[in-house]
Amino acid sequence: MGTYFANPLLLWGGLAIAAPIIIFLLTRFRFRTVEWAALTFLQRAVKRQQRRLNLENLLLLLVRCLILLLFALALARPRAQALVLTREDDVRKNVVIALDASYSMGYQLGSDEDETAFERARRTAKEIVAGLESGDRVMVSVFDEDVRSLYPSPREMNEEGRRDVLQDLDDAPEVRRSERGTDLPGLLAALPRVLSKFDLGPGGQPPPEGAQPLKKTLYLLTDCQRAGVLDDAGALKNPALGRAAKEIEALGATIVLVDCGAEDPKNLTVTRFGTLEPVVGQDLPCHVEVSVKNWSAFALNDLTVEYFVDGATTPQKVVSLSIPPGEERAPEPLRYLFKEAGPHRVEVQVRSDGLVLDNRRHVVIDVRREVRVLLVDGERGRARVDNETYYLEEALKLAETDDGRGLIRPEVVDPAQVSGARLEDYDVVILANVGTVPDDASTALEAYARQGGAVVFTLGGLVDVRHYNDDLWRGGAGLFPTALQEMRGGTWLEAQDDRDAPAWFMTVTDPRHPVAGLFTSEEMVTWLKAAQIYGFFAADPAPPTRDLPAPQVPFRLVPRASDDGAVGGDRARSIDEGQPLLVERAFGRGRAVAWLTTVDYGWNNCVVHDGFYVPFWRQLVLDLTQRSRPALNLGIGDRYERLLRAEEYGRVEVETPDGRREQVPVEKLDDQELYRALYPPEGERDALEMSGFYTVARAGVSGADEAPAPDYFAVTIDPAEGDLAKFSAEELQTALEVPVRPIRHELVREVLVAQGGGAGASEFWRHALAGVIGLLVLESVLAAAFGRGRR
Amino acid sequence: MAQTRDTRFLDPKTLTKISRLDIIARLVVEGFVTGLHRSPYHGFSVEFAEHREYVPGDDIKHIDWKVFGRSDRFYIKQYEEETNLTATLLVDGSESMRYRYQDGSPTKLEYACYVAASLAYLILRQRDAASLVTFDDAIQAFIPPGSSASHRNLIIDALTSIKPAKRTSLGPVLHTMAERVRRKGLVVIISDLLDEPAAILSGLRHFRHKRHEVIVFHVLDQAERTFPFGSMTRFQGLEGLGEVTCDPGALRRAYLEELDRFSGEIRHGCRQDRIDYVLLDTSVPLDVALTSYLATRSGMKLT
Repeated sequence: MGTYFANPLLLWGGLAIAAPIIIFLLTRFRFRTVEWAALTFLQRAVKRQQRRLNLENLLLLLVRCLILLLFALALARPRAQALVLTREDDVRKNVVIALDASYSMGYQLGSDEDETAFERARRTAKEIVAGLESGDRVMVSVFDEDVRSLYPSPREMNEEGRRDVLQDLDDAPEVRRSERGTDLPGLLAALPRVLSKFDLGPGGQPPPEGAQPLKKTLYLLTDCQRAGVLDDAGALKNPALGRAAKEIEALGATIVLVDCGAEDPKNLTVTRFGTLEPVVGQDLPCHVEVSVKNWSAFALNDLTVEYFVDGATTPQKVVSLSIPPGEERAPEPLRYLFKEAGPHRVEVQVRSDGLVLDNRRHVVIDVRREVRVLLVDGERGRARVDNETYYLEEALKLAETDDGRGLIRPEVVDPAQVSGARLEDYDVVILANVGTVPDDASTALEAYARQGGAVVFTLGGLVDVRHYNDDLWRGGAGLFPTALQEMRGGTWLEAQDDRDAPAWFMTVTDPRHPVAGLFTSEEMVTWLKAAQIYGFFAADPAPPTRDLPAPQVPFRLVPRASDDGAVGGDRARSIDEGQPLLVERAFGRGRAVAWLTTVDYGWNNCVVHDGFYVPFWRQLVLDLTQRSRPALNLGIGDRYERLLRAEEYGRVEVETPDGRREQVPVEKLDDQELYRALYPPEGERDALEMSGFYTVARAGVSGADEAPAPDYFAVTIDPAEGDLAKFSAEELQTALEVPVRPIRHELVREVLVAQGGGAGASEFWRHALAGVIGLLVLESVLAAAFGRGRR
Repeated sequence: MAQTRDTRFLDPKTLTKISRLDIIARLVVEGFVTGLHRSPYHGFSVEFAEHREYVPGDDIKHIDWKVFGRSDRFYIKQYEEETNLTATLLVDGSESMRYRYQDGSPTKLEYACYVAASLAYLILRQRDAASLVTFDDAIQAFIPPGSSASHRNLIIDALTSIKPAKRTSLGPVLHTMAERVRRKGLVVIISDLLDEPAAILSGLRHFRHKRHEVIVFHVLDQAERTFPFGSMTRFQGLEGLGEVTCDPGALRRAYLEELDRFSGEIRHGCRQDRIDYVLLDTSVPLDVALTSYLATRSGMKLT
């Protein structure tokens, strides 16, 4: 009966129809007795009316019985489907609860810290489960950026099942708020697989061909974040979302949207936090910059921004900040001088709003004593100034401070010295116009790059193209990042004599590249255009294959005299237009870069345009340095990787932001003399799930007496999740083109019970109740007409 | 001249608190009469009887102006009136007359006695002769006509000694009395008339045949006229009529129709025979009865 009625026990109320019959019979024996003089008239009246009276009594009795019967039926909440369907399954409620666990659900709803949107969603989920009837089935999925289902198949709501699900909603490790973002498209794409499990047979067999899917209800408990779902015009950002929704509808599911978030949330997020300098040097000033976005529709004034350095409890700097609605602002940066080399922790905190997690951000700054660059000069002159690398060396070793201290320390060697150098001590190796790279040097450089080093090739007249293509490029297997073709143009000296000599301008074709990004401002574009290239090697950066990573070509060349006489770089050009000038490709863990012209004044006049030359080469070196270092600033969901040389091998232990210590296994990499510590270890489901600073301690290092100083890395959340702007059920319905029913979170249980089922069972009890009211009116009218007023 | 009528003692409920019927009768009549503009009960005879001091309400044409000239006071000349009317009061003393719906209200019999006693008082004050008959299924008591003051006591005693226990049989009683009252006069019947209408009308017609003036006071309890019962009720009939158990609400209309048909039949028969028919329910003030009597009395041709 439970499948036909929401409250089958109340059907016993139908026995109440005995009441009017009993009352009717009792009144035959329960009466008051009076003396009456004019009995004759009464006797005549009775004689005349007896038939009519009996009929009236019977009619009233019937109506009263019917009232009670219908009332009992209404209380039992019949499901209309029960009356027409024969398949038992069809009258069960099949419910999927999708619980948003993204970090925005940590939004605090009131003064109580524990009362968050997530707790509200958890409570609502429990109310849904509690409101289900025996025989109903439920699946629970928790989602953020990915979807985790609590059960492999639907749980039946018998006594044990309900207790387990309620318990799991409280305790299961999956049901906790994460620090990840929301991926609603991902959820909807995963749900058809979950929903189809309701249609499987008892043994897991698929439903028969052509069978109608069972009715299901999908409760979406979320804070309805608009970002990632709808654009400003209300259209879907990802069309796949619409297709997934259609699929869900085709599986018989109705989407019920329960907004568990705050009604009018205001939130700000630290969107960017890091140093202005690509590499921070010891005792050299650096600038730690922060950007804060105000997502809300109100101006947030007098915010306090605090910078904390190296775990200090008192802020290093406090600044005040006001942000207009919807804007992003960068307060005054923290200018700081790190006295010691090594990793340093800097944290920023903005006070404060309902969502605390994104008001903090952490960064680990790797402070370098110096950046060592090995310049392999293929064209040493008699005087230093004649060296191929002379101008480069001068540019790199420019002082950072007034007292002459610089960050980059270049060293110049001959190609023959490469194999003897300890390459791992250098951050970048630059080979300038090296005609042929000796085999042992080539091998050492490849190993160096494979382990994370950066190698830059600059070309020139000495370069043996065939050697480069055959030995260094090797069809993509070698270190050189592109295949070379013929040399084009001539030298700068020749061009000075010949006005018609060909010349090329440089143009930025990939502004996302850190070096190319420098030359996007108006002032820097002027510098970029000032330099001219007269000779270069044409190159063909092969497209990526399975073994070959994609090349980056941030700078290209366009001829000086274009058809319309415009200066190169002015016109909008596609990325592939023009000849490549700078080609970069990943090699192993490191990078390989080719500058397809000379680094001195041989084939171009860059050296005289120091507004281009100096920032270009310094930025390239620092960027490569920074990128070849292990990543210390990670996101939620990433893994921390630390490579150890043989002499650094030892035990590795990670301490999490909440103080847990975990031993990290260290494994030897197959083809290299390297060891790797991966945290969390591969194979475990959880990646880095908590934002904050992690401490990496090493002990038992074979090559050192004392334990080395701890390393740090920082994990930060995705700031986009801080945008709490909402979509409404109507907007979602319009965009998805499937019905989306909104229910207030506090009414979920009432609605569930009132429906008599989430599985689309119609609300038959309302009709029964309407019938009761109609019959009550009829009874009153009849009683009045028959002279049976209730006195 | 006019004086406010003391209506207190015209209300039957008030009268139930007074136990002595003679006092009731006097209070009713005096209260009733005092308010009339013209004292109606002075005789029309010319034989002087005595003087009496004027009281408001007396007709000023009877003031003896000679006495006023002598004594400077108003005196009324009163005359010895000849008794020229015999009023026969027939009071129903059957069991059905003891019915009353509410405590505190008079039973139909008590009400009938108030009416009879008051009429007797009035009649005797007018020097007419009054006679009383009490009956149920037969004549129970008969006080022959008389006009002395002590006669009133006889009538009162007879009224107070009625024991309502038997059935009504109005027709035979009326016929019997029509034969026994020989002198033409006024016949007043006070009853709930719970008998066959044909028999009642036949008896009344007998009186009319004997040239009597007839007034029928049909006394009913208010409940008998409205049937105010609600829940299931067993009605036990008086006078051995059995019992009926029913839902009174459902039967009210039918009952009232039956009652109307009955009283309509009686009224119609009375009108045909020029008999005054007055329906009294026991909550109606007694002056209705007295006024009806006086109207009939003054319309009679006296011999």
